[in-house]
Amino acid sequence: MAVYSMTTSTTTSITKIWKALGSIDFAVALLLAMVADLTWGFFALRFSSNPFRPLNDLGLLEWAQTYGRANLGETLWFFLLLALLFLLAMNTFVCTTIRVDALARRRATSMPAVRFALKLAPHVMHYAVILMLLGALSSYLFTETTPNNILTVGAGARIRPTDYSMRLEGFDLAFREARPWNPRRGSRAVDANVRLALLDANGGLVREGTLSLNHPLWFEGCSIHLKDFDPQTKGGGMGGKPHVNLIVRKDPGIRLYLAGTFFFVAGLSMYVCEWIWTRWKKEEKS
Amino acid sequence: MTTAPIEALSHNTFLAAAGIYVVSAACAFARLRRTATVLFIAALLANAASMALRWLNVWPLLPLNLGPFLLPVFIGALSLTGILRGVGGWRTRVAAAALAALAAAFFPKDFYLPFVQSNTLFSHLFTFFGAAARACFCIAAMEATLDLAPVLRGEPFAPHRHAAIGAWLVWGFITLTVSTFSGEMWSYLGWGSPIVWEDAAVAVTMAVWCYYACLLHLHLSRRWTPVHRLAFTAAGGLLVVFFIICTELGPFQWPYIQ
Repeated sequence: MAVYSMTTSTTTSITKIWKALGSIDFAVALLLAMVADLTWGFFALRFSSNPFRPLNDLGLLEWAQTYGRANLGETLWFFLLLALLFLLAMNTFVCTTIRVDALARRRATSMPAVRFALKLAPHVMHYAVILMLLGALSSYLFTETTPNNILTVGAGARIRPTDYSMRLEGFDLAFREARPWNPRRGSRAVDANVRLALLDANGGLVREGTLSLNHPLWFEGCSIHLKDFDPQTKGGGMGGKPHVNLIVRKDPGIRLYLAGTFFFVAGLSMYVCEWIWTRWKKEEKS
Repeated sequence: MTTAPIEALSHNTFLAAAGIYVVSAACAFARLRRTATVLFIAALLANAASMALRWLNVWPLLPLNLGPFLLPVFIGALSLTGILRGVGGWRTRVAAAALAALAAAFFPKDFYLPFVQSNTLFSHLFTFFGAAARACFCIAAMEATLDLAPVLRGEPFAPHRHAAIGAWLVWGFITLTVSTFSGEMWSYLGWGSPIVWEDAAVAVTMAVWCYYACLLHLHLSRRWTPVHRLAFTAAGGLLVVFFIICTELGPFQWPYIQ
């Protein structure tokens, strides 16, 4: 009898903790704390030396041990934000799971399939937020970045952290057409089409690839982004050799992050449909 | 460097729009509704034309510092049906568009050359939907303040515009989310990382997103009455105005015709 009573009390305590963790008031408190913390972050970023610049290149752990710790007055808000995001992810998971469970029970009794799917919309968005947070965390923990790979035509560089390398074969500038109402606009390049040879560890050609601004090249789990190029004007430039500057990143969290973004947008679209449908029904009744 | 004809035309058209917005607001408060409405439509068209010219000038790049100039277009366009029907608070919306245009005219940021990394659809979506979100939140805050005013005078609470305010909030949140995700995609494709913490604008955009995410959850809590939620909506307008709109403005400068 005593064992039964103890088990029941433990179960009740766990249920209480579970419900408190997923309570809407806790979510509101967390979100308000985040608003206050991010506002603090806004002032810290605007009026300080900004120690966050190396964060994307170093990764979270190394950055926290160096720039983060050395500038605690300017970075404390960020560490607090990480703690708040962790709690928010927990709260979101518990709250959403409780509600999805309740919705599934209602579905079992009386709810058409389409209505049920639309009712799931907010929950899809909530789970998507958790995916995005996990993806961002993986990115900050495990990404390896080589921020500046300056290549002249014919020059090469290793694609870190892989054993492959790349060689710049050449690049073509893209210009806008000059117009009578603005003759200046034809003189400045708006893009560069960069041709790379991707080589294995022995220098053998694996394949050729192209990239341009906002159109990175993906190769062996790495993304190669065009950061800058010179010359940028017809017959102009900085006076040096024509070159491009490339960013190489191996980011294992980005797929998870983008999947989260995709599901959030899908959930949001479903929510809009459900919201419009509900309003339309209400107006029809009144 | 000389100003291109299209830049001068865009600048002067915007100044004309700002002037007409102000006259329209004056007519609205003088209870000349028809004149105010006609002038408001003229100002809105001039404002939209000015934006179109700025965009056309640098396309496919993004014109920089566009936010303050786009805000009155969105406040005006989104309020237009309400203004035409003369719904409660229409004068406030006309005045808000005029104020936003004046702020952009007197506190402009320089016309820098657009930067080449903005050559993507995502940069345009980021700017367009960001301005739409700000306008929705400002309108929601104005409506909430109008609903709250009688309560502050001690009158019983009558939520005239409750459903409409909810719609502004939902559309504001949707457009802010689309803008934020577009910005993240742009940042990822351009620089390899969806979030770059070195920019103060990122922190404040996330703060605003969290604020409105919180607001959209308040109806689920019994602690937050409709009056509390209206006050929260009104306060959100202050957050958007001070931390987003004001930070996009430049130093004071007397407007001049080019």
